[in-house]
Amino acid sequence: MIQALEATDLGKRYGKEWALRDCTLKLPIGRVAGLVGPNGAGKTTLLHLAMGLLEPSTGSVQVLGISPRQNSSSILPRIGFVAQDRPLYRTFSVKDMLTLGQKLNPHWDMALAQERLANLSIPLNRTTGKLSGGQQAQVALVMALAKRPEMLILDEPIANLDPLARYEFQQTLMDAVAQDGLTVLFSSHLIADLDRICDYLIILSASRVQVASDIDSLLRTHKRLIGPRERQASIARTHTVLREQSSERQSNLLIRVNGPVLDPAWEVQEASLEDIVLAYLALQTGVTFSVQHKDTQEVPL
Amino acid sequence: MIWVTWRQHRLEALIAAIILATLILILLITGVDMLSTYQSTGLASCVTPQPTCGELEGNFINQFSGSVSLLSIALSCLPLLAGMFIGAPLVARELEQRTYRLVWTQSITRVRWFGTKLILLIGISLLAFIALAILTSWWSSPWNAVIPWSTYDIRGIVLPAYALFALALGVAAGVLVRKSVPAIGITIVVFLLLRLAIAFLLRPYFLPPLSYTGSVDNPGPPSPTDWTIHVGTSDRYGHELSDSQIGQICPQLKGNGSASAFLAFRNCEHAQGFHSLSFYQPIDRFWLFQSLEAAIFLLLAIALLAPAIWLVSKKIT
Repeated sequence: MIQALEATDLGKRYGKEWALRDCTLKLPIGRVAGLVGPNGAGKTTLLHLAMGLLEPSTGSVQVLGISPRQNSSSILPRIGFVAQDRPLYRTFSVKDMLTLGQKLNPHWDMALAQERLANLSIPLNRTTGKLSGGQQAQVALVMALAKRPEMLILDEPIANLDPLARYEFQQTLMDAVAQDGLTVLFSSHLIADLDRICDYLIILSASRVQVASDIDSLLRTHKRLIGPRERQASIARTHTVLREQSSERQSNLLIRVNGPVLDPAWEVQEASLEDIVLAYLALQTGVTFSVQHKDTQEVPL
Repeated sequence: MIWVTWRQHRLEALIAAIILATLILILLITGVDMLSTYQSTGLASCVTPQPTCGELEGNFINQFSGSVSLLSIALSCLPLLAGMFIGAPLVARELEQRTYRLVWTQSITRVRWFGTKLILLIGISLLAFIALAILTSWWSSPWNAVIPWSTYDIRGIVLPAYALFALALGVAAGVLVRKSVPAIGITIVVFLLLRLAIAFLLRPYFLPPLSYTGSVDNPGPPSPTDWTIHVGTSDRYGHELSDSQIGQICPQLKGNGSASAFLAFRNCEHAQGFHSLSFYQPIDRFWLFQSLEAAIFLLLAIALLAPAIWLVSKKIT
């Protein structure tokens, strides 16, 4: 079964510093995945490895079943990529950027690009350096979409955008996903965005993958517990406590459940995605979580 | 990729075209002037030596040496400009402005991206330099009939070879340091060092210079079209003497530059049986030297481009 992205023990080292380490994860095709993690966690490194912009130091990465570094000419036409800070040639007009896309991509859809930019009222004759940040982000996204890719990889596409521009960007993205059933992998450090767009979540922290999971199962398997502090230890025996906030008598826990919580002394609440993400980001240890999907296979070791 | 290359470099192309057009205009004007003077003064008929020829040559050289040296300097700098402004930013600017993340993630491989850019930019630059070299060969032809080696650097096949080397150097420096301005700096320093070192240290000895023994009154080399590397004085046995040895044997010139002292010195030289010993490269080696030097710069360019291509395709990110 081909994965949209499959990393096995993937690592990237610069000198003695690891930018990404022991990264093993699978992203099934058809998902809209958010990649979250604090700055410097290795998000950009992972995405650049996936695009073949970087060579792995250890392990391997495959995108749509293809190694991007060895076989870039067959994988590049199939992925639309928007790099961090959305680089464009600043002296090019928007129209020039589209022509560039047309000249460099075999499946380029000029009509689609022009239509989307017209809908966004972005003037084709303006140089990209004179566009607003939101417009630049839109041009970059439209360029990635007009490649007619099977997968989109976006590196912090909405960072530094004002709320309206962010909303419009997400709208363009979600329209495209709805229309074409694209697989999307995008990194962000804004957790609020994830809920709206994603159905899959990858949490990267301290250069390692902490979570790579369906958001539904993530929500199903993580709960907030409120109960007497003296019985916290018994909870920790069965379940994994990710975060605790305790007063003198009462404990407020975020746990990963391992079976039902039977003790009636605990009040069980739904955990929000934000709670869960924050709990994992706060972890520095390698407590990892992954859900095996029926349609995925174990990585042969 | 051709369109992209054109779009990215059209400003450089425009500036290059303006510089080129200006140079061509100046070359045409001074060239026609030089040629008509050459013919109208009768210098052209000096193929068979006549008594007035020396004076005609002197006048001709005086009249045109200014424009020849100015144009020589301009034409010698031109390859360096190409290296600085076309070569150095080629990869460095993409890395610096992070647009490599855009252009290397379109559907073409970076090898193809780099290959197309190199072929187009180097190819077109070379064509321009070849055209220029053909023009300067015509332009300098009257001058070359008098002192041909003096225009060696700006005509023939070395001019395009210098340009190729400068471009390769700029590209390699940009790949290595990843920033345009330092890459431009490296290009200037390395280009000037190598170019001058080869011109002044290596070129005179591409082949061992020929020697010519003449009288002290009329030193060699045998023809004014030869390139004089060195002129010295030899004793009656043909051994070259140093200045201090000459001063010991014939001390008449010491601290005295008057005409009578010079005459006494000359008489001493004659009495000692001194001769003038000159070392020179004959004109028939001109094209051999051009070929050798062009080959050196061609090899240097390849030695710079090969690792640059490898770095861009495999290592740079």
